[in-house]
Amino acid sequence: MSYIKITAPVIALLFFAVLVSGQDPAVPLPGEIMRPGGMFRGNPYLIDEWLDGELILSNGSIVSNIKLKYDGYRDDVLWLHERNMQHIILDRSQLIKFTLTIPGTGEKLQFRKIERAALGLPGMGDLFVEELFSDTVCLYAHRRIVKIRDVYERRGRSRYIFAEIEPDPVYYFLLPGNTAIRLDKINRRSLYRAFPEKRNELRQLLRRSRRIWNDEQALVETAIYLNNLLGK
Amino acid sequence: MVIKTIFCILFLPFVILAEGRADAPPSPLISPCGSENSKEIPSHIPVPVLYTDRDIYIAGEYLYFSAKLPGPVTPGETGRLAFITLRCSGGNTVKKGIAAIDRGYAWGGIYLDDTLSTGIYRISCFEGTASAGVSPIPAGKEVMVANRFDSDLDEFIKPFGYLQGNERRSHDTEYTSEEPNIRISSDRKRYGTREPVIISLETESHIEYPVWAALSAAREETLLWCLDGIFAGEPDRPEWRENSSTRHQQNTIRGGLQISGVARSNETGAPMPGLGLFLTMAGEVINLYHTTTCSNGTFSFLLNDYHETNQVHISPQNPEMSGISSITLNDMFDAVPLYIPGRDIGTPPSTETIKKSQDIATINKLFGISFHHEKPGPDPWQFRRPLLYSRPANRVFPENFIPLDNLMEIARELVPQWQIRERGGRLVSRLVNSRTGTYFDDAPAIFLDGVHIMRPEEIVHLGSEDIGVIEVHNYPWRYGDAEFSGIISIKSTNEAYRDVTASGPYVIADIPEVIPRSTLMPPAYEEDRKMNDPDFRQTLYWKPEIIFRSREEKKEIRFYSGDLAGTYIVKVEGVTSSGNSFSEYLRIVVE
Repeated sequence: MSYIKITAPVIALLFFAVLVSGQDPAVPLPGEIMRPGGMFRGNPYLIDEWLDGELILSNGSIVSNIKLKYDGYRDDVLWLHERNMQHIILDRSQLIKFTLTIPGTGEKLQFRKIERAALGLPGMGDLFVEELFSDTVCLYAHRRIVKIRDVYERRGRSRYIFAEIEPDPVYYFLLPGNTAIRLDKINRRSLYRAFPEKRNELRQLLRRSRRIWNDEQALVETAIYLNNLLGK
Repeated sequence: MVIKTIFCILFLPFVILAEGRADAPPSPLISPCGSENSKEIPSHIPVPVLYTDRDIYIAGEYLYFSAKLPGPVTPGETGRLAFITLRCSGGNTVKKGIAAIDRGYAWGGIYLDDTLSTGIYRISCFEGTASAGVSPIPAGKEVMVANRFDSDLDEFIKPFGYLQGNERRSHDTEYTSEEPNIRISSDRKRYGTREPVIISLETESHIEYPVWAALSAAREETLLWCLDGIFAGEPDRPEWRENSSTRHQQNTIRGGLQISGVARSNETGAPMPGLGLFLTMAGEVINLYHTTTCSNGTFSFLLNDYHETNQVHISPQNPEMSGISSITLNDMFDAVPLYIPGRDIGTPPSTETIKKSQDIATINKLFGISFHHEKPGPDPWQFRRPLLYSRPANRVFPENFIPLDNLMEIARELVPQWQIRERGGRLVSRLVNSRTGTYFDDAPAIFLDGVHIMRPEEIVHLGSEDIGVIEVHNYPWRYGDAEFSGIISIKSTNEAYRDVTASGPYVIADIPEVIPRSTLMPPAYEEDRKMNDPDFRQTLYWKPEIIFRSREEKKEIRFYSGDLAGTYIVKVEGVTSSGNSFSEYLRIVVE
């Protein structure tokens, strides 16, 4: 009993010290001060609450223990300046990666910025994509939130237009040789279409796995399989 | 059992910290107002020590130094900085720089400029401190530098009476020759030219590990001798031996070079707390730092790699404060104590000795022979240049339009978002918020060539031919704790910022260079037998960092002799984990 009495406070104190040690407030974060809200029907954020996050800036700095949100509609990263409770759209040119920690589970969602051209998309600029698997073969999810339609609403004498939005993720396999393959939906047919030359191997894989091929975990398994196949 | 468990638990977080943060820059231990958290690991080395490869140098040569600084020795730990100064006998600092401390060591090479006058100099090294008013603990050593073209050396040596009979101990008080900490031996006593020399170092059984040491093999004539042995470095003040560990733990700077000072009221001289300050630097990018003064008026900025060897400008964030406040900077190098020349020097060298060294240095210069080698070392900059913004909302190039005489005209004709008007005898500048289409309530921040400008009046005279580009960033912008009602950045064609900042409330500070990790790389004749260049090394070998870890009793060091015949002293100096210093040497002859 005395053993527990002695060690318990020491453990508590030291683990608190470890937790506190990650603070890195010295790196100034640049960004535009935005007004919260918007004319939406739906949620423009991947998760509509401020999550513990970490940033890696293009200058190599790592900024931890900050509150972040990912805006999938505008493809922006938002930072909560806690002293003023301001919402800041971070200067995306200075971001390389960011991580969001899901409360409760502690699961970490890792995002990185990638050029549109690397994903085979037209136009200039870049996107934030979630890294689902990263090796010789990479699997990214663009957690985009798109407008379905405009919704008109009359309030008194005024007429308002709201954008009805919903999540519409897109998945990208990045294969050796800078080949990007896009999947808009998770199902067997789209996978076979994406990899026509690997159709038979993939069919065997899906049979062996004996699972309904309709979730992201199945995509990750496919990416691992392709990585083993192509990564040698 | 309980003690063992507590011991394990105590070490666990440090292991987690060391492993988990290995790739990431360590978090700074300086809070904005100078207080520190308790992340320090207790030190066992009470005082810093400093060694050099030789004692006598010729201007135009490199002086190699190795400093062991007290403090935590954590593998992979970075972010500690050593300040290095070289002072001449007049007390002036002729060289200064910073060096990264890795595993407790700071070492490198200082080039002794050809223009240095003949005299006695003192090289000092100390670790930066975070708190003003508390001196760090410097280690220092006197060396002699002779100008290569100085022929009248008798005149130099004679006036310095202190060179005669100045008694000085070479060893620590705890150390006695009967009980050496380390033994040094060589495979032979006599060597031919360009022959391998093998030196063995053995620690004694009573020694406390780890042991830190530096080893040099230099011509006997380039060393200064004391009455009781060889000349060695020591802390600048003996009283610092006491409680130095505590002093270190309380005040060490981590995470990069810091610039600090105090802001006071012009009227009363009282400290000004809560004053927002900007630190900027002229350049292509707006590399801005922002801080707020503490309750005692003090402030500090942690600099980044972009600032090295440049000038930084510190100014109040709010232009209204520029007239009522004054900023004084602390000299980062003023912790080095007053230099009284000649305290350490024992027996002076003869003029013949120095003249011979001058000839050798001249030959090396003529043939372009150098064994100086820079090694990639730890990066002293923990923070990289932060950008105020990366892409402006709009860019205007005045040269694409008809020439305009001043900034008011340029703003009116070419930059529709920017308005400069004269109101109440002064100029008022405003920007249109790109999101709302209305004017911001407050004036935008203006930067000229990256330097923060207080008032539009200071730059209103700039015309089209003076301006390369105007960047308009008319967003409500946040940068850390600083908030902007839009930003105007003007890049001039003629470094116009120099005229503006030459006067007024701008405080300018010079940031020292980083001394790279460099050492002497002796030739390896077994690999290249056809080396025909003369090898007139006065220092045959220099190893700035030798660490004996637990149960590591023996080390062997191998190098080649050069073409210079004579007696060489192989000297190993260092400290044990308990702080006992030692200095052992042996003679070898090259013939």
